[in-house]
Amino acid sequence: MIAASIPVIAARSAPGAQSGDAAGPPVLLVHGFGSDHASTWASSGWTAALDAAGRRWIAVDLPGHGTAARPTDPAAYALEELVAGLAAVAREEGPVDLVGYSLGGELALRLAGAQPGLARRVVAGGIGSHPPPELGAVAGIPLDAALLACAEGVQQSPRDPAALTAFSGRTLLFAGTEDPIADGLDVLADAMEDAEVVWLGRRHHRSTLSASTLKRRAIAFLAEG
Amino acid sequence: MASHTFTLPDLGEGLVEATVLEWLVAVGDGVERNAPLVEVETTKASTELPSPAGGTVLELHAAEGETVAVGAPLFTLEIAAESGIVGTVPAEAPPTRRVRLRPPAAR
Repeated sequence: MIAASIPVIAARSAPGAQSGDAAGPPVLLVHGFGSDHASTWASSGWTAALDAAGRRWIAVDLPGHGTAARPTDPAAYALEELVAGLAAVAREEGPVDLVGYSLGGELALRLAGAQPGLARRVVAGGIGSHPPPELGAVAGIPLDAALLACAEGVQQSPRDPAALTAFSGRTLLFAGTEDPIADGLDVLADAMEDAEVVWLGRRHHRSTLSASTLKRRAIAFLAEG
Repeated sequence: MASHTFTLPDLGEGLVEATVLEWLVAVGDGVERNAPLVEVETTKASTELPSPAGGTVLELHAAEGETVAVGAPLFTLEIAAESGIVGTVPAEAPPTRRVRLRPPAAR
Protein backbone atom coordinates (compact mmCIF):
# COMPACT_ATOMS: atom_id res chain seq x y z
CA MET A 1 0.00 0.00 0.00
CA ILE A 2 1.18 3.54 -0.77
CA ALA A 3 1.40 5.53 2.48
CA ALA A 4 0.25 8.72 0.77
CA SER A 5 -3.00 6.95 -0.20
CA ILE A 6 -4.18 6.82 3.40
CA PRO A 7 -6.81 9.45 4.17
CA VAL A 8 -6.59 11.57 7.32
CA ILE A 9 -9.25 11.70 9.99
CA ALA A 10 -10.18 15.37 9.64
CA ALA A 11 -13.06 15.56 12.12
CA ARG A 12 -15.02 13.36 14.48
CA SER A 13 -17.98 13.70 16.79
CA ALA A 14 -17.32 15.21 20.20
CA PRO A 15 -16.49 12.52 22.79
CA GLY A 16 -19.28 11.88 25.25
CA ALA A 17 -21.78 13.94 23.28
CA GLN A 18 -23.78 10.88 22.28
CA SER A 19 -26.88 9.70 24.02
CA GLY A 20 -26.67 6.30 25.64
CA ASP A 21 -29.28 4.55 23.51
CA ALA A 22 -27.61 5.38 20.20
CA ALA A 23 -27.04 1.94 18.78
CA GLY A 24 -24.61 1.08 16.07
CA PRO A 25 -20.95 1.38 15.26
CA PRO A 26 -19.30 4.71 14.37
CA VAL A 27 -20.26 6.19 11.03
CA LEU A 28 -17.29 6.72 8.70
CA LEU A 29 -18.00 9.59 6.29
CA VAL A 30 -16.20 9.65 2.93
CA HIS A 31 -16.46 12.71 0.67
CA GLY A 32 -16.21 12.84 -3.11
CA PHE A 33 -13.75 14.11 -5.71
CA GLY A 34 -12.72 17.77 -5.41
CA SER A 35 -14.42 18.26 -2.05
CA ASP A 36 -13.46 17.69 1.58
CA HIS A 37 -15.01 16.50 4.81
CA ALA A 38 -16.33 19.92 5.86
CA SER A 39 -18.02 21.04 2.66
CA THR A 40 -19.50 17.59 2.10
CA TRP A 41 -20.70 16.55 5.55
CA ALA A 42 -20.75 19.65 7.80
CA SER A 43 -22.28 22.32 5.58
CA SER A 44 -24.85 19.86 4.20
CA GLY A 45 -26.09 19.24 7.75
CA TRP A 46 -25.10 15.55 7.98
CA THR A 47 -22.78 15.80 10.97
CA ALA A 48 -25.33 17.91 12.87
CA ALA A 49 -28.04 15.37 12.06
CA LEU A 50 -25.82 12.49 13.24
CA ASP A 51 -25.05 14.42 16.43
CA ALA A 52 -28.77 14.96 17.00
CA ALA A 53 -29.35 11.23 16.51
CA GLY A 54 -26.62 10.44 19.01
CA ARG A 55 -24.36 8.67 16.52
CA ARG A 56 -20.61 8.66 16.71
CA TRP A 57 -19.00 9.71 13.42
CA ILE A 58 -15.58 10.06 11.84
CA ALA A 59 -14.99 12.17 8.71
CA VAL A 60 -11.91 11.70 6.54
CA ASP A 61 -10.18 13.89 3.99
CA LEU A 62 -9.12 11.72 1.06
CA PRO A 63 -5.56 12.01 -0.29
CA GLY A 64 -5.20 15.16 -2.40
CA HIS A 65 -8.13 16.77 -0.62
CA GLY A 66 -8.62 19.03 2.40
CA THR A 67 -6.00 18.49 5.09
CA ALA A 68 -4.63 15.21 3.66
CA ALA A 69 -1.29 14.67 1.91
CA ARG A 70 -1.28 15.84 -1.71
CA PRO A 71 0.72 13.36 -3.77
CA THR A 72 1.05 14.27 -7.43
CA ASP A 73 1.72 10.73 -8.64
CA PRO A 74 -1.48 9.30 -10.17
CA ALA A 75 -0.50 5.86 -8.84
CA ALA A 76 -1.31 7.05 -5.30
CA TYR A 77 -4.92 7.54 -6.39
CA ALA A 78 -5.52 4.19 -8.03
CA LEU A 79 -8.89 2.94 -6.76
CA GLU A 80 -7.35 -0.08 -5.09
CA GLU A 81 -4.86 2.17 -3.25
CA LEU A 82 -7.62 4.53 -2.10
CA VAL A 83 -9.68 1.57 -0.90
CA ALA A 84 -6.68 0.12 0.93
CA GLY A 85 -5.96 3.48 2.55
CA LEU A 86 -9.57 3.83 3.66
CA ALA A 87 -9.48 0.28 4.99
CA ALA A 88 -6.50 1.19 7.18
CA VAL A 89 -8.52 3.99 8.80
CA ALA A 90 -11.69 1.89 9.08
CA ARG A 91 -9.85 -0.99 10.75
CA GLU A 92 -8.65 1.37 13.51
CA GLU A 93 -12.26 2.26 14.27
CA GLY A 94 -14.03 -0.78 12.96
CA PRO A 95 -16.48 -2.24 12.50
CA VAL A 96 -18.11 0.85 11.02
CA ASP A 97 -21.14 2.03 9.13
CA LEU A 98 -19.82 3.49 5.87
CA VAL A 99 -21.39 6.59 4.32
CA GLY A 100 -19.94 7.95 1.09
CA TYR A 101 -20.90 10.31 -1.69
CA SER A 102 -19.78 10.31 -5.31
CA LEU A 103 -16.18 9.00 -5.40
CA GLY A 104 -16.56 8.43 -1.64
CA GLY A 105 -19.65 6.32 -2.31
CA GLU A 106 -17.77 4.18 -4.78
CA LEU A 107 -14.89 3.74 -2.30
CA ALA A 108 -17.33 2.83 0.48
CA LEU A 109 -19.02 0.14 -1.62
CA ARG A 110 -15.71 -1.31 -2.84
CA LEU A 111 -14.24 -1.35 0.67
CA ALA A 112 -17.31 -2.99 2.19
CA GLY A 113 -17.33 -5.63 -0.53
CA ALA A 114 -13.61 -6.34 -0.31
CA GLN A 115 -13.42 -6.68 3.49
CA PRO A 116 -16.39 -8.62 4.85
CA GLY A 117 -17.01 -7.81 8.49
CA LEU A 118 -15.45 -4.35 8.34
CA ALA A 119 -18.68 -2.55 7.40
CA ARG A 120 -22.01 -3.27 9.03
CA ARG A 121 -24.10 -1.10 6.70
CA VAL A 122 -23.37 1.13 3.74
CA VAL A 123 -25.05 4.32 2.58
CA ALA A 124 -23.70 5.42 -0.80
CA GLY A 125 -24.93 8.06 -3.22
CA GLY A 126 -24.15 10.07 -6.31
CA ILE A 127 -22.88 7.05 -8.19
CA GLY A 128 -24.19 5.00 -11.09
CA SER A 129 -23.41 1.88 -12.97
CA HIS A 130 -20.82 3.68 -15.13
CA PRO A 131 -17.79 5.66 -13.95
CA PRO A 132 -18.25 9.41 -14.44
CA PRO A 133 -16.83 10.44 -17.82
CA GLU A 134 -14.93 13.49 -16.59
CA LEU A 135 -14.07 13.89 -12.91
CA GLY A 136 -12.81 17.46 -13.34
CA ALA A 137 -16.16 18.58 -14.69
CA VAL A 138 -17.93 16.89 -11.78
CA ALA A 139 -16.07 18.96 -9.24
CA GLY A 140 -16.71 22.25 -11.03
CA ILE A 141 -13.57 23.76 -9.55
CA PRO A 142 -10.06 24.51 -10.82
CA LEU A 143 -7.86 21.46 -10.31
CA ASP A 144 -4.41 21.67 -8.75
CA ALA A 145 -1.62 19.17 -9.46
CA ALA A 146 -2.86 16.77 -6.76
CA LEU A 147 -6.45 16.79 -8.02
CA LEU A 148 -5.30 16.34 -11.61
CA ALA A 149 -3.26 13.33 -10.48
CA CYS A 150 -6.28 12.06 -8.54
CA ALA A 151 -8.58 12.36 -11.56
CA GLU A 152 -6.03 10.55 -13.71
CA GLY A 153 -5.35 7.83 -11.14
CA VAL A 154 -9.02 7.13 -10.51
CA GLN A 155 -10.02 7.17 -14.15
CA GLN A 156 -7.21 4.92 -15.28
CA SER A 157 -7.93 2.36 -12.58
CA PRO A 158 -9.26 -0.99 -13.67
CA ARG A 159 -12.88 -1.17 -12.57
CA ASP A 160 -14.26 -4.55 -11.71
CA PRO A 161 -18.03 -3.98 -11.70
CA ALA A 162 -18.56 -7.07 -9.55
CA ALA A 163 -16.36 -5.56 -6.81
CA LEU A 164 -18.65 -2.54 -6.66
CA THR A 165 -21.69 -4.65 -5.86
CA ALA A 166 -20.05 -7.42 -3.80
CA PHE A 167 -21.15 -6.17 -0.37
CA SER A 168 -23.85 -8.47 0.95
CA GLY A 169 -24.92 -6.42 3.96
CA ARG A 170 -27.76 -3.95 4.03
CA THR A 171 -27.17 -1.02 1.72
CA LEU A 172 -28.97 2.26 1.03
CA LEU A 173 -28.23 3.81 -2.35
CA PHE A 174 -29.40 7.34 -3.20
CA ALA A 175 -29.14 9.97 -5.91
CA GLY A 176 -30.89 13.01 -7.32
CA THR A 177 -33.25 12.41 -10.23
CA GLU A 178 -31.43 15.21 -12.13
CA ASP A 179 -27.97 13.71 -11.60
CA PRO A 180 -26.64 12.16 -14.83
CA ILE A 181 -23.71 10.64 -12.92
CA ALA A 182 -26.18 8.41 -11.08
CA ASP A 183 -27.40 6.83 -14.30
CA GLY A 184 -27.90 3.14 -13.67
CA LEU A 185 -28.12 3.32 -9.88
CA ASP A 186 -31.06 0.91 -10.00
CA VAL A 187 -28.85 -1.52 -11.94
CA LEU A 188 -26.31 -1.38 -9.12
CA ALA A 189 -29.01 -2.01 -6.56
CA ASP A 190 -30.34 -5.00 -8.49
CA ALA A 191 -26.85 -6.49 -8.61
CA MET A 192 -26.50 -6.26 -4.84
CA GLU A 193 -27.83 -8.73 -2.36
CA ASP A 194 -29.68 -6.34 -0.07
CA ALA A 195 -29.85 -2.79 -1.43
CA GLU A 196 -32.66 -0.26 -1.49
CA VAL A 197 -32.69 2.94 -3.52
CA VAL A 198 -33.84 6.43 -2.61
CA TRP A 199 -34.34 8.89 -5.48
CA LEU A 200 -34.51 12.58 -4.61
CA GLY A 201 -36.73 14.56 -6.93
CA ARG A 202 -35.42 17.77 -8.58
CA ARG A 203 -31.95 17.23 -7.13
CA HIS A 204 -28.74 17.08 -9.11
CA HIS A 205 -25.22 15.97 -8.16
CA ARG A 206 -24.32 18.98 -6.02
CA SER A 207 -27.73 19.56 -4.43
CA THR A 208 -28.64 16.01 -3.37
CA LEU A 209 -26.71 15.57 -0.16
CA SER A 210 -28.28 18.37 1.87
CA ALA A 211 -31.87 17.19 1.31
CA SER A 212 -33.49 16.83 4.73
CA THR A 213 -35.62 13.85 3.65
CA LEU A 214 -32.43 12.03 2.68
CA LYS A 215 -30.73 12.67 6.02
CA ARG A 216 -33.81 11.48 7.92
CA ARG A 217 -34.05 8.35 5.81
CA ALA A 218 -30.33 7.55 6.06
CA ILE A 219 -30.19 8.04 9.82
CA ALA A 220 -33.25 5.86 10.33
CA PHE A 221 -31.64 3.22 8.10
CA LEU A 222 -28.42 3.34 10.13
CA ALA A 223 -30.34 3.13 13.40
CA GLU A 224 -32.04 -0.16 12.50
CA GLY A 225 -30.38 -3.09 14.22
CA MET B 1 -41.29 41.41 20.72
CA ALA B 2 -39.44 42.61 17.70
CA SER B 3 -39.35 41.48 14.13
CA HIS B 4 -35.99 41.14 12.49
CA THR B 5 -35.28 40.49 8.84
CA PHE B 6 -32.20 38.38 8.13
CA THR B 7 -30.36 38.56 4.83
CA LEU B 8 -28.52 35.87 2.92
CA PRO B 9 -25.12 35.75 4.64
CA ASP B 10 -21.80 35.86 2.85
CA LEU B 11 -21.15 32.20 2.09
CA GLY B 12 -17.45 32.75 1.39
CA GLU B 13 -15.43 31.65 -1.61
CA GLY B 14 -16.50 34.77 -3.51
CA LEU B 15 -20.05 33.46 -3.93
CA VAL B 16 -22.53 36.27 -4.66
CA GLU B 17 -25.85 34.43 -4.70
CA ALA B 18 -27.59 31.21 -3.76
CA THR B 19 -30.74 29.39 -4.77
CA VAL B 20 -33.30 28.35 -2.18
CA LEU B 21 -33.68 24.58 -2.44
CA GLU B 22 -36.02 23.90 0.44
CA TRP B 23 -37.46 25.76 3.38
CA LEU B 24 -37.25 23.59 6.49
CA VAL B 25 -39.72 25.84 8.34
CA ALA B 26 -43.00 27.51 7.45
CA VAL B 27 -44.52 30.85 8.40
CA GLY B 28 -45.81 30.60 11.95
CA ASP B 29 -43.29 27.94 13.01
CA GLY B 30 -41.24 28.45 16.13
CA VAL B 31 -37.50 27.98 15.60
CA GLU B 32 -34.65 27.61 17.99
CA ARG B 33 -31.33 29.32 17.51
CA ASN B 34 -29.01 27.16 15.34
CA ALA B 35 -31.81 24.86 14.17
CA PRO B 36 -31.72 24.15 10.41
CA LEU B 37 -33.84 26.80 8.69
CA VAL B 38 -33.27 26.68 4.97
CA GLU B 39 -31.29 24.71 2.48
CA VAL B 40 -29.57 26.77 -0.22
CA GLU B 41 -27.47 25.84 -3.21
CA THR B 42 -24.49 27.74 -4.53
CA THR B 43 -22.37 27.00 -7.56
CA LYS B 44 -20.13 25.02 -5.22
CA ALA B 45 -22.38 22.96 -2.98
CA SER B 46 -25.68 22.82 -1.18
CA THR B 47 -25.69 24.11 2.36
CA GLU B 48 -28.02 24.10 5.31
CA LEU B 49 -28.26 27.49 7.04
CA PRO B 50 -28.96 27.46 10.77
CA SER B 51 -31.29 30.00 12.32
CA PRO B 52 -29.26 32.91 13.71
CA ALA B 53 -31.82 33.47 16.48
CA GLY B 54 -34.75 31.85 18.23
CA GLY B 55 -38.24 33.10 17.42
CA THR B 56 -41.27 32.69 15.22
CA VAL B 57 -41.12 32.74 11.43
CA LEU B 58 -43.04 35.77 10.15
CA GLU B 59 -42.11 35.78 6.49
CA LEU B 60 -40.02 33.86 3.96
CA HIS B 61 -38.76 36.27 1.30
CA ALA B 62 -37.90 33.80 -1.45
CA ALA B 63 -39.75 30.84 -2.93
CA GLU B 64 -38.09 27.47 -3.40
CA GLY B 65 -36.15 27.60 -6.65
CA GLU B 66 -35.64 31.34 -6.42
CA THR B 67 -32.15 32.88 -6.48
CA VAL B 68 -31.22 35.32 -3.73
CA ALA B 69 -28.24 37.70 -3.74
CA VAL B 70 -25.90 37.85 -0.76
CA GLY B 71 -27.24 40.64 1.46
CA ALA B 72 -30.83 40.42 0.15
CA PRO B 73 -33.68 39.66 2.61
CA LEU B 74 -34.15 35.93 3.19
CA PHE B 75 -36.55 35.59 6.12
CA THR B 76 -38.12 37.57 8.94
CA LEU B 77 -38.34 36.29 12.51
CA GLU B 78 -40.32 37.62 15.42
CA ILE B 79 -37.85 37.45 18.28
CA ALA B 80 -39.45 36.99 21.67
CA ALA B 81 -37.06 38.87 23.87
CA GLU B 82 -33.70 40.52 23.73
CA SER B 83 -31.90 37.57 25.18
CA GLY B 84 -28.21 37.14 25.52
CA ILE B 85 -27.44 40.30 27.44
CA VAL B 86 -26.98 39.76 31.15
CA GLY B 87 -26.87 42.71 33.55
CA THR B 88 -27.40 46.32 32.64
CA VAL B 89 -25.87 48.31 29.87
CA PRO B 90 -25.13 51.96 30.70
CA ALA B 91 -27.42 54.29 28.83
CA GLU B 92 -25.79 56.51 26.31
CA ALA B 93 -25.88 60.13 27.37
CA PRO B 94 -24.01 63.19 26.22
CA PRO B 95 -20.92 63.93 28.30
CA THR B 96 -21.56 66.40 31.05
CA ARG B 97 -18.03 67.51 31.75
CA ARG B 98 -15.79 69.29 29.38
CA VAL B 99 -12.08 69.06 29.51
CA ARG B 100 -10.06 71.63 27.73
CA LEU B 101 -6.65 70.63 26.62
CA ARG B 102 -4.17 73.43 26.57
CA PRO B 103 -0.57 73.20 25.55
CA PRO B 104 1.82 73.81 28.41
CA ALA B 105 2.70 77.46 28.69
CA ALA B 106 5.98 78.36 27.16
CA ARG B 107 8.57 79.57 29.60
